[in-house]
Amino acid sequence: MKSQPFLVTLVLLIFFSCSKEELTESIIKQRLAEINQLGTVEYDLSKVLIVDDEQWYTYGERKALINIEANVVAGIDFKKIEVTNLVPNNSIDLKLPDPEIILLNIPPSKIRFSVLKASFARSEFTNDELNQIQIMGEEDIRKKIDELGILKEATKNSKSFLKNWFKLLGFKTVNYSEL
Amino acid sequence: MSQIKLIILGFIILGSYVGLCFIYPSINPFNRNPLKIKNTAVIIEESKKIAKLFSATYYSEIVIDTTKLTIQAKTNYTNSLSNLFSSDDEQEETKYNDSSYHQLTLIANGTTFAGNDLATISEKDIIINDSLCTIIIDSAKIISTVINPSDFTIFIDEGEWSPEEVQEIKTLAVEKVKQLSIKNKILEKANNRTKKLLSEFLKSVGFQVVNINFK
Repeated sequence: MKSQPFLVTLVLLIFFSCSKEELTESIIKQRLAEINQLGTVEYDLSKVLIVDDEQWYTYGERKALINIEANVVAGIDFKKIEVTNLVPNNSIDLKLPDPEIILLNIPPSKIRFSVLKASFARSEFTNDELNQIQIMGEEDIRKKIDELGILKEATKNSKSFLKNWFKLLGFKTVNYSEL
Repeated sequence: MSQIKLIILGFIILGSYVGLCFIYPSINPFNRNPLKIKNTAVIIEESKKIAKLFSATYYSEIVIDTTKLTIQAKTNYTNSLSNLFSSDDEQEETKYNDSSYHQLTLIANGTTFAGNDLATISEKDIIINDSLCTIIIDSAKIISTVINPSDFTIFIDEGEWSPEEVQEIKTLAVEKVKQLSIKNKILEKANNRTKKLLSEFLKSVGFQVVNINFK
């Protein structure tokens, strides 16, 4: 009998902890958020994923050759642009934030399976394995984005866009410094 | 006796090794090596200058549950063994339809980006009158809906689904997230946020009254 209040408390605790989790999940997982990024460069990339799956204890091999196409947009946070000096209708000095990758998009429609081959003693690639291969490709693209100079290009284009824009707004000279 | 001791010792060593294999799978010679991709280059196909103001994102987790029923015409030779020594006229064939049920359930985390294209602003779209600035810009558009491979989880994969079919279903998931974002008024919110952002920015560079109008 003494254990009854303890059990009731335990059940109530479990119940409330579960319902709280569901509530926060539904709020977090379906939301409209504000961003303030100015995308200044867009790259279309492609990569060939080659998988050669052979284990010492298996007879035969499995091979996959998958082509993926990705789209990368980089730019700067518009809200972080600082005006450091201003002479109306004459000149403006701006401080630009560091460029960042805004999005990396690998659309499912841009993933093509060129070769999927399994020898007779081996099973075909499962859909889960193929998804894992695609994830590895995505991770590799993310790692190599820095080497492609996309961020440098984003800063260069941000400067060029803002210069033209401020000229349209009546400023004669636009100077930059980086944050 | 010494032989029994050796056998027991052998079992202990083998048992310890099997136990260690469970703890450290890398020392297990039968442990399956994970799939690896070869190091290939990332090729730049195209690069272009843009000026898009990303002002709203919509995030959603969706479940795509797809089923299909395949029907195949088959023939059952029920008495084929007994007919081995009789004439073909007595052979009985039963034709029937064999159906199989296939199910694929995917969980996808998608993000839709919306914003305004500032590259289309030309001289005639900017009207300046002393401290009053009026800018006419294109209305917000969906820039991209992103569901990358790492955003997909294959929850149920039963039956036969070709890789191409799976990709088609994934593409449907992208479209579904896009439609959900439109339903949740992402474009209206993007316009409002762009208006607020540009107004604040232009006021900070000296304009007292700022009007942002959409085409």
